[in-house]
Amino acid sequence: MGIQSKHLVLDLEKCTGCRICELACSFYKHGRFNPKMSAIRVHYNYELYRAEGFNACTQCGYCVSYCPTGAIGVVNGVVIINYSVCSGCLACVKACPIGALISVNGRPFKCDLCLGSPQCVKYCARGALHVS
Amino acid sequence: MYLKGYAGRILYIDLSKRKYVSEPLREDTAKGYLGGSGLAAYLLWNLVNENTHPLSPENALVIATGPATGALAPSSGRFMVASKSPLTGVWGESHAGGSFGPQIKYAGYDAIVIMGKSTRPVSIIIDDDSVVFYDSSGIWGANTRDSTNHIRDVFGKDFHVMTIGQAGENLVKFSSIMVDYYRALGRTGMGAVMGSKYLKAVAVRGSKPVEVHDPDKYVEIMEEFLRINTEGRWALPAQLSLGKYGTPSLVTVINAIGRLPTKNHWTGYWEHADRIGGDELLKYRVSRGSCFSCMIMCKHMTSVDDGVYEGSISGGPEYETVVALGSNLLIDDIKAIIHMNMLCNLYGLDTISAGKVISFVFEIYEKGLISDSDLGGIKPLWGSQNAAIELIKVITFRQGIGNLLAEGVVKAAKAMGKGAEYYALHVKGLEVSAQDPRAQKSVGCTWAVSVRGADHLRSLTTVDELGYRDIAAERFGLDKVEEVCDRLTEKHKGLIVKDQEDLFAVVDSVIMCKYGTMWPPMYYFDFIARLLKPLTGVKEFGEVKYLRILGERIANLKRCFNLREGVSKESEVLPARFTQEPMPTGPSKGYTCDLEPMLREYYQNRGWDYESGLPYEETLEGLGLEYVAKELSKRLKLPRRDYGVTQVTRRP
Repeated sequence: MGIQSKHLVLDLEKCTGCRICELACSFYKHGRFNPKMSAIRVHYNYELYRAEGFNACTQCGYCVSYCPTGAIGVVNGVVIINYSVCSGCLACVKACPIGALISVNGRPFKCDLCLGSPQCVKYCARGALHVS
Repeated sequence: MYLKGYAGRILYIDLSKRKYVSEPLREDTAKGYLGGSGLAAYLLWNLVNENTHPLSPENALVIATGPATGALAPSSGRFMVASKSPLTGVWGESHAGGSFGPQIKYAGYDAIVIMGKSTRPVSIIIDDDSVVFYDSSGIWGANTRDSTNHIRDVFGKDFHVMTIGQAGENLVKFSSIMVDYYRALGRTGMGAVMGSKYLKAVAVRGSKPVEVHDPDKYVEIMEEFLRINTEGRWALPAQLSLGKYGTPSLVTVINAIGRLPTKNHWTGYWEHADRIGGDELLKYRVSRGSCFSCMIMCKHMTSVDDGVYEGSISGGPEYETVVALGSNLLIDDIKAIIHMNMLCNLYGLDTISAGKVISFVFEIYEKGLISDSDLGGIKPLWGSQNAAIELIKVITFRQGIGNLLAEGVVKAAKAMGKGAEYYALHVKGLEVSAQDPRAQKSVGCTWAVSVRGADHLRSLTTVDELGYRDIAAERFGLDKVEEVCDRLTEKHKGLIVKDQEDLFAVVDSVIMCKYGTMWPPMYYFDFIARLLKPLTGVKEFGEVKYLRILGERIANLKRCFNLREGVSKESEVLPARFTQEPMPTGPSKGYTCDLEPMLREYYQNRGWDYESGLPYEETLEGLGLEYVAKELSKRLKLPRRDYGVTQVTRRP
């Protein structure tokens, strides 16, 4: 879609695999701790002690056109799901080219940068996460 | 169960019948024993008894997590295993970091109890509610890295694996369990317990959440956790030492106070310590990692790219390993230490015990108590890297002299006779860790009373070692500050060891890391109380007084476990090297450790009778351990305070 937007960036060199970002995300968004419910997921290689990549929404907006109910929109460069309109069809989850959209309790869930103050960035003690 | 924080279930697995059942964690058990070490103590007290042989199918292996595991609590990625130890025959427990523990919780279990014995090598694969017994004949005989890789290749990369290597299979009494490749459940021979059950590995993956009772309050704790670790008093010191170097940063610091075990603990100072210190190790570090939910991040990986040890790559080595296989053997080549650390990790061997067994061989060879013909070509001379590496191999595969050494330093020394026992440094059969009671008196008491033997992780104090006067004043009162902060006096050390043992009993049950509670002393009872209440919703957990009682209960229960095994005060002695031989060199020169006054003070504070070495009945009753008192009374006559000190006779 070519929308220039802010999104999460992980410095793989700095990441130590503590997964505090995932815990912070699941807690602030769902009120419970579960890395599987996190909008950011770090791929950490425990054999080499190295982060090899991460999964988080790049706010590209690709999912917007796949939503049959028009629940996904772009606000200030951030792709946001309007849950009052969302039917839970999960077409967006299937559409996302990088698997950043996940299904949590039958609803799509993605990074919305905590509407300006991302908690994962705040809790990263090593400073490996930032928004750019 | 409505208690939040907990997963709420315990998984029981019987390897003989290949059956499993999960039962709810009872609310009173959780309230009374918290989790982790406390829960394991409660379960093991009921599951085994003094007639259970540690390597028999009847022995149970308990894998336990605590309420904080998997929730965003400080350095809470840890878990523990407990069992009757094949090395010491008494209480055995071992803790490890990594990311395995939280996965157990996410799979829906607070603890996993493994009993019985398989007829063929097997691994247990736990994926939420499903438990699969995976035939592991194909990886029996493989090292820990290969078996971990195999399981992750077959079942998926998101499985976390704990596995034994060849040492555990060969029932080496101090074999370890390796978790996620490099994190070790090292001490007390838990690997041999798995080996005796034909259990090669346990893999787990979970997708369930950990709930929080009061999220709004809990956020405050998380904020505090973040604040302490980024801008608090200890944030910078922790990052400059543990963060930058990992635990090996201690080597030079501890050498400076004359407490660095050197030459089989002959002395506490080594002039070449800087050759194996943190700065030297930093040259070989390839990456820095951390355990789950930790902001200290002290883990690292090292790799050697040239010379004879080219290709040695492993997690660590940690401080204890660097000392046990370095200064303790007079080996000053850090590359050799990295190589030996890798071997021990691959074979699944406890580096501390292995190092002390090897230094024992070095010393008795020097003293002429073992002949060349016994050694099968190994020349155990001080500083010999080849001899140390060879010994690690023969111990793992029980070849030649290794078969005897694999039984641990006590049995080996006993079989050799001729006064070799003097050089076997252990308490209750567990080889000593990398401290020295002559240079830090409280360590003597810590080692002596520790339930698993000469071990620094059940109550090691740092206020005396590092002289934190404000913290000493806060915890023990202004009038005691002088003595408490003097590491070279025995005074008040029984008190601070008891206090630290209670704290660690709680910390080991919550479960949090010793880094953060031992050093830096960031979290004490008050923090844990503030953490547990919003997490679990248990009112009592929010009271420091209740947590202290809980700590005492857990510490007493574990001590009573040993008492039931017939191990009491007679085993709470230090090797003569620390009580008779004055420190020969270094800053702590001339000191010995006088255990008796510390032990007396410890017993008094514990509510145990020093003369008989038994708990007062009232002590156990006051802690809600009536059932323990009742069972012990079948074998022993417990003293009562109201009769004064009673004459105690053991029943036949």
